[in-house]
Amino acid sequence: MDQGNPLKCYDARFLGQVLVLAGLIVALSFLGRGLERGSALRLAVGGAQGALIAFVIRFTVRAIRRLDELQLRIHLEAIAISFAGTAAMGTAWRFVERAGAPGFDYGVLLWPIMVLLWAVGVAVRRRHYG
Amino acid sequence: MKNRLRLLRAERGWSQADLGKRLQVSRQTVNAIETEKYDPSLPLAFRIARLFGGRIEDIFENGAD
Repeated sequence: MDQGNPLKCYDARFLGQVLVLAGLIVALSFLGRGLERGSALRLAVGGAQGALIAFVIRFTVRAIRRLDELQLRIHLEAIAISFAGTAAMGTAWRFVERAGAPGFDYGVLLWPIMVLLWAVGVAVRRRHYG
Repeated sequence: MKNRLRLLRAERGWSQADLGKRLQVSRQTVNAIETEKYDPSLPLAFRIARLFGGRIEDIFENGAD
């Protein structure tokens, strides 16, 4: 994190850390597919993926806590927008599914949707504060 | 909340980025305070007052009063 520029939440180091972790999570997914379902090894791979997600959250929270007070406020407002938006979209899709729309695994899209709405929220709130 | 931050900064010939560096906040935060879109926290208000050698009430004025 660049202490000289508190506006920069997503610096190269943070992005690098998260991309490496995301890559490992995807690689473990492919590795897990080749293993027998319910086997100790496959369960260990699933556990390792969960642990890596915990690291992503840790790095993200640490990056946000280094921001100045206005940027922190902007990100917290954006996270609230993302949280509510993701939940609303999930519920709305369930209603549509019940009405006969094709079903799909919403869980896979959960993280990308949350991150996308977070980014949109940050852009909208930054615009508000000028 | 009304404030005299822009005036005080201009008197010293500082840019928003200069002031942000002195206060350890972003340029955007300085701009948001100057345009009265954002009210600083009490610790930041004290830092601003100390930097300009005054009291908080010399710089900030509660519009509700």
